[in-house]
Amino acid sequence: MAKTYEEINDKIRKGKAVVLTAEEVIDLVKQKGAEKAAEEVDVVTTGTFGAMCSSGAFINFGHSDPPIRMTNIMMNGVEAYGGLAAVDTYIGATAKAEGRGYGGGHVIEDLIAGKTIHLHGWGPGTDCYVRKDIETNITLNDLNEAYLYNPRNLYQNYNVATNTSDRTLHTYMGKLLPRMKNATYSSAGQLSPLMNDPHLDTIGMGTHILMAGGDGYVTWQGTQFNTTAKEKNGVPISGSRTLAVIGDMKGMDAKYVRGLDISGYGTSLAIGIGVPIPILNEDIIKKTAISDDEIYACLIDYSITSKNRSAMAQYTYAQLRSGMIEYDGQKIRTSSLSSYWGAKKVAADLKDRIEKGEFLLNVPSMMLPKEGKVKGLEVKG
Amino acid sequence: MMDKKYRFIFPESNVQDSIVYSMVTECKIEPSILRAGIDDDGCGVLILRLKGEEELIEKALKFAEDNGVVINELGDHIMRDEQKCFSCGSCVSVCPTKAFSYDPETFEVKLNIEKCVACGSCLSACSTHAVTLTL
Repeated sequence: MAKTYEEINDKIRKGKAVVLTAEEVIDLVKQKGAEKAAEEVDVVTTGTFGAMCSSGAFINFGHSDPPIRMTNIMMNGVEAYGGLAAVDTYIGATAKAEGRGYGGGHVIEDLIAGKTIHLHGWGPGTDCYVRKDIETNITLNDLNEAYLYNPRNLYQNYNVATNTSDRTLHTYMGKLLPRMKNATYSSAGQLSPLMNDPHLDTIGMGTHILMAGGDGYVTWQGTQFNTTAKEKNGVPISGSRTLAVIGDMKGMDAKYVRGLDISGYGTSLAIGIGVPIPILNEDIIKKTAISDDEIYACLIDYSITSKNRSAMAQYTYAQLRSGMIEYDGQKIRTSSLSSYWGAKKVAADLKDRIEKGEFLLNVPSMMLPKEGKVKGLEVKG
Repeated sequence: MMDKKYRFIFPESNVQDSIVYSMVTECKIEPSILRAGIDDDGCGVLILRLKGEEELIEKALKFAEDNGVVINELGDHIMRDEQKCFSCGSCVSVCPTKAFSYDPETFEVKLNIEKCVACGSCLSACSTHAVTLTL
């Protein structure tokens, strides 16, 4: 029995929609089968809360009197982009203040938390924008617009990182102890948005999402969008699709946002994002019923710095989440870099809002590409 | 029976003396040395676990103190800022004693201070600077 977005939204408005998280749906489909489950369930909610480096915020400061066209901008000592119109900027999550573990991700967290940010701007001084220098303090409320526009979030699967060398490595996959003493992974697995709609049958341009507790939307395929990864049980076993997303910072909750200072790598932003999957038919609910023991990821040796490093082994997220994997007879301690606890909270929060009729689903205005391949950067000339 | 962890600081003046050996033979205690080193200020630092009769341990501590060792009991030596921590778990797999672990149900990261041996491995693993070691 097929359902439409309109039918589902009608039920949401009436407070009658049946909503399960991507964890809860696993057992239901096992018990009742996909056909019956698809009749009962209207929406499955997913969630993730982890580092998403390709993130940042567009901001409009408003004009001072006399006005300035800012070409160099510092926010709490972190450089923001000065190549937009007079008082517009973009501050990226990985931009870093000099000499301390504070960056764009922390500026974004502080703004959302309502804290005051020191702004210093410089301009050339023109006939229409005479001011050359401005220094002031701002809060999120003072800004005209402030929205996150993240070009690559919600990675569909990712590596498991380990280190076979004799020294500790500090990587974007966290601290990797020598001689494979530990391994880290980052996907929310069975709760991860793109693991539950692996071929983007429902997620597309304009999909309404929960972004750090506020309203957000899918705006495009993410950068490095890749559909060529090998699949097992219908989901890719390595980094694959990504999404570009947008969300109003003024509606966000700081509990779902963290500026990160990843030792030896730099700064970043962790953010909690939830995506609803409308159960339009049996096939869609089957895909949301995927569990951690069916999703695989590849163990990669991060002491090899060449791009062409091969997978050492594959493990399921159930194995990874058990805290220990085995490679070549050696036991390796595992832990996550993204918060599964946070992912559960995001999915539960989204479920709650849909049940209360506060969050409606959008029909995508365009589906995302069915094919995408990642090219490398050649050194030429 | 007592089971506690202590930090011994040896002043530069007696950093080369065999105080622990004398303490062990004198007081018949069985320490596990968890960490030992000499800081760049010349002072020795020893983290050790003492297990045994209360009377003997007290005697041992007094012996060390009489020999110029400054002693702190470890208890609240590691602190986690609950506001900053978002339970990612990057501290979990780098912790040699499983002081940090996931709750198997909620996947919230838990800290068991009693297991912590103050190695400091978690400090550079934590990307929100939620952990501090006050030694």
